[in-house]
Amino acid sequence: MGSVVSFRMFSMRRHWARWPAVGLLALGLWQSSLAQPVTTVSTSSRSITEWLTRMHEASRQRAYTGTLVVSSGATMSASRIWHVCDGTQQMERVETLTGAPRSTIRHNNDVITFAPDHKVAWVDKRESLGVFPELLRTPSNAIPDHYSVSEAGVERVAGHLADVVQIAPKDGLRFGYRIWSEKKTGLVVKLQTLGEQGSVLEQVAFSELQLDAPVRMDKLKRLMGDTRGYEVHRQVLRKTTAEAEGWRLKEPVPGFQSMSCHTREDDSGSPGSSPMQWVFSDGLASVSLFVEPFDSQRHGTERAVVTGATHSLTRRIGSHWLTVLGEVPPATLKRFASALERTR
Amino acid sequence: MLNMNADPLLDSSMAEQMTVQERRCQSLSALLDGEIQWADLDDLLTHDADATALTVDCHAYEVIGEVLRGQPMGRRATGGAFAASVVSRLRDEPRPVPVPVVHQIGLARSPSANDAIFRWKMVAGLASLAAVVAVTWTVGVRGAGEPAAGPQLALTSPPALPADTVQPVIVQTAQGQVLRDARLEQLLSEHRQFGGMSALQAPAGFLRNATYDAAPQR
Repeated sequence: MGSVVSFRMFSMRRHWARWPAVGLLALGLWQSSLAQPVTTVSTSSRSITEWLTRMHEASRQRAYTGTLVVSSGATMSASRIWHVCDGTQQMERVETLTGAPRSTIRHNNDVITFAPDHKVAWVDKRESLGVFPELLRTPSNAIPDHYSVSEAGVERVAGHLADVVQIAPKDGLRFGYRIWSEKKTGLVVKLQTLGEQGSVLEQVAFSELQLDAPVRMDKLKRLMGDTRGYEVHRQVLRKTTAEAEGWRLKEPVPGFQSMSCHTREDDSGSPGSSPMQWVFSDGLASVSLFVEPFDSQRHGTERAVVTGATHSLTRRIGSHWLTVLGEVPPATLKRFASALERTR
Repeated sequence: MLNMNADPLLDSSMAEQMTVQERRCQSLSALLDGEIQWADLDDLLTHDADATALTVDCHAYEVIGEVLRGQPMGRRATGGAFAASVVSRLRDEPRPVPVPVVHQIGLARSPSANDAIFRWKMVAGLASLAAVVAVTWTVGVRGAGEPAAGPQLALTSPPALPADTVQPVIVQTAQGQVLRDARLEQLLSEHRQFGGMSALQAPAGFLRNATYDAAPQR
């Protein structure tokens, strides 16, 4: 009986203690709101531009081989990588280990992709690879305006110690990144694209990496030039401007600058029915606007699709059909779709 | 009756099979004559996996019985009709009505021990007021000044846009051959080839795209 009475006494004390606790909590909230700074102080020994430049330079000065794993949504892909650089020239070979067999070889901006199953090869030029890091050194580098950087310790990836660098967006129009940069060289050994609440949307990581591997550039060059038995296709981009094509953005999307605008030509050189591709970038994330004549047979209902970190949105604009896609939140794509208008 | 076990041309397993067959036939005959024992019936229904063969045999025994009894053919109920009548009877049987489970949340909670004491209600009221003031003050100060910078704002929603009917569709992009939308896959591929304008493109983006991109659709 005595124990029952003491339990009830304890219970009553516990209830009585509740209301002052609520008061203290509210007071604490008030105090913390007074003490909290409005801006977040970044704790990084390097600026975001310095980090990105270091990562870029590492890939230009090192030879390595490794196995790269890409995880996007429920899909996982892997490839074998060979990378070599002699200070002025870069060569890379990527052999897929999952999905369709495919071999991609890059020599600076020139890229050839072999599909051995179909005995077809595609040749193209990637101008985007030459844009950075030159842009990082110019005043038009707006990355620091839209992202902040902080360091989050050191972790081991593929047997190598790496600095963990957090790149956080300053608004809701772009995703964040967490990058593992090899401690001695700065080489990117792991990269995560982060969504809201820090959720991982996509990640790229080396599962095995051998730095300073004996990769021979002359051998890669021979492989790149050996197209015997392959049907070779060349894609030529025809540069244009949105204005010339009769398009403009009513209002800019914060942070995103127009980078290029082009259409595609096939092997015969005649402009086909390929859409106009207008590319925007904020320095880390890029968005492509594809505009083509509306075709009721091919273009169905407007919809939004997401695969990993890549979102896409389709919309009919008068007699045209817009597909806007990029590694950005859906809200950013909606801003682009709403801002695009015909000028003639 | 021929003793199968004595046949030197049959091995022991075949002989055993025939014995089982004989026992099955006897049980089936007894069933149709209404003379089967419960144990034999259980054995017949439990161990006879070939229900189709059992139905055929049953039908044959019915026909034989009718012929022996001099009954006209076709008067009997077929096996199918019999089964249908059983199913019909089962359907008409009353079923137990499931009793809905109702979760009564909070009803059993006893009133607070200090519920009857007015001064504690005063304290609670003041605490609530303090909480509201704290939150309002925070929002007010933040809202009146410059837009707060920092990573925490990445969690907030961007400015609202006119609602449209577009709903996100989750697509698990298959590695290889299965393409939900070949046209979209092509544009994705072109975006990765020529739209990858990023400072991370050379360090990681190119390798990522060359690894991840499904079979070329160019």
